[in-house]
Amino acid sequence: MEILERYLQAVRKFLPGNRQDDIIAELRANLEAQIEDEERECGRALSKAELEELLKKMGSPVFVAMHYQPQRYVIGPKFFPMYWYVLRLAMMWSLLVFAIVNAVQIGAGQMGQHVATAIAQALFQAPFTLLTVAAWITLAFAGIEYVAEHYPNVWKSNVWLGGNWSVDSLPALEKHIAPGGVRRSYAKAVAEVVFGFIFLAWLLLVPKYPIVMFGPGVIAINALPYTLAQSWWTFYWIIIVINSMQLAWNCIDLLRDSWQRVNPLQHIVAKSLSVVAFAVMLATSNRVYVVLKNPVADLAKYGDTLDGINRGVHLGLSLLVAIAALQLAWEIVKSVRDRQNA
Amino acid sequence: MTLSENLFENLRLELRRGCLTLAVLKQLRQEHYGYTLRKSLAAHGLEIDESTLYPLLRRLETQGLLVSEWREEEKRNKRFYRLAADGEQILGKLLDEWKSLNDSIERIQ
Repeated sequence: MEILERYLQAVRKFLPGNRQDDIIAELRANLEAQIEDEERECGRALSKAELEELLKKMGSPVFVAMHYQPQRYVIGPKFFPMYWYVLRLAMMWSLLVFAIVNAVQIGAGQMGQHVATAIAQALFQAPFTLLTVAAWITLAFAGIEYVAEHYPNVWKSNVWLGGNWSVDSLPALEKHIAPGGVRRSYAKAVAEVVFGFIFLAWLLLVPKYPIVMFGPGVIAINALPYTLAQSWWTFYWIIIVINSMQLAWNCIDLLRDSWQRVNPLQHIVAKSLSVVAFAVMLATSNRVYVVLKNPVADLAKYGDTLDGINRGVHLGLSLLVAIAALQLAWEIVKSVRDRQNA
Repeated sequence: MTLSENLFENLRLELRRGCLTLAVLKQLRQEHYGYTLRKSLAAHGLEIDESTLYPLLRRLETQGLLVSEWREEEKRNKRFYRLAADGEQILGKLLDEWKSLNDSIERIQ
């Protein structure tokens, strides 16, 4: 029966210390009774292979010992939904704060290094920041689980998990999503905010560091005798305002937990402002979009080309405004129809 | 194992878990030690693994539903379990609940 002793010895190693002797004694008694029973049935001693088969049927030592351990969770099913909710929120907000802080630092040139290096460094640091936040949240919830498990009278988990909720505290009914309307995923809503901040930071960097838009092509642009007219600044700042507004809306949607649907009004307002930006550009530019860097010296040589460029840009912009205005009108009509059908 | 077989197995185990506790409590109105309890349950058509039954007996004892004692039988020391007074009360309530559930499920067409 050496094989039985070896089996019991292996099981013992995985059992809780204070109950090892008792459990092993009971397990031995049961196994011996089973072996005797089977030997009685077949009228002879069990062979080594039969004994091995019997123990194999019982299960591996770890498996058997595992069943004697109380069920333990780092974060159990009672707290897991809340943990998952808090973790998602914490990850989103920490990513947001991280993106803003780094965008501001890079924009203000406080990193003391090249912009591309600073951005790369920030991107490299982001996963570690998120991991740290996730670790702290997990640790906090593991603590809550432990206290709730061991001191149920101290920690009233039913109160914490909304045991005292009232019907009045339920959020308002979400507006109906039109048939075929798209429900945004949470990941998409968060990604829109994060990339919105990155895009805004990038846009703010463009005037000071044109390389972030044109790359190495900036050398060729600098070599040209032309430059953009002053009227582009108005256009630029309107675009900054539109992006900031959209970003603020997306942040508010996330805060109010109303990120599931794209608000058609927000979309129309943003699109209208874009049309306005192009229209303002057309109205205030006097059809001058590109000027000569050195008009006194270059007018004779590049004057005709300059006129051609300005005429082309004006025509292009006029077409763009017309198409965008038509699209906007169509979207307004569609939105009104959807509202009536809802 | 396919996804649907896996799902069935999980649901089957979930369904069996509570039923096995009920069967063990009912069977222990008469005293048994681990191995004979397993045999008598099997004789009633309820096969249960040793690795599930023996720890379950310990758990039910810790919860005060069973009492146990070490006693010699056929020159071997064995741990005998039987239903405790509290266990008898709870078993009665559980059996009522079981019957009510069973009747309800039977009535559903």
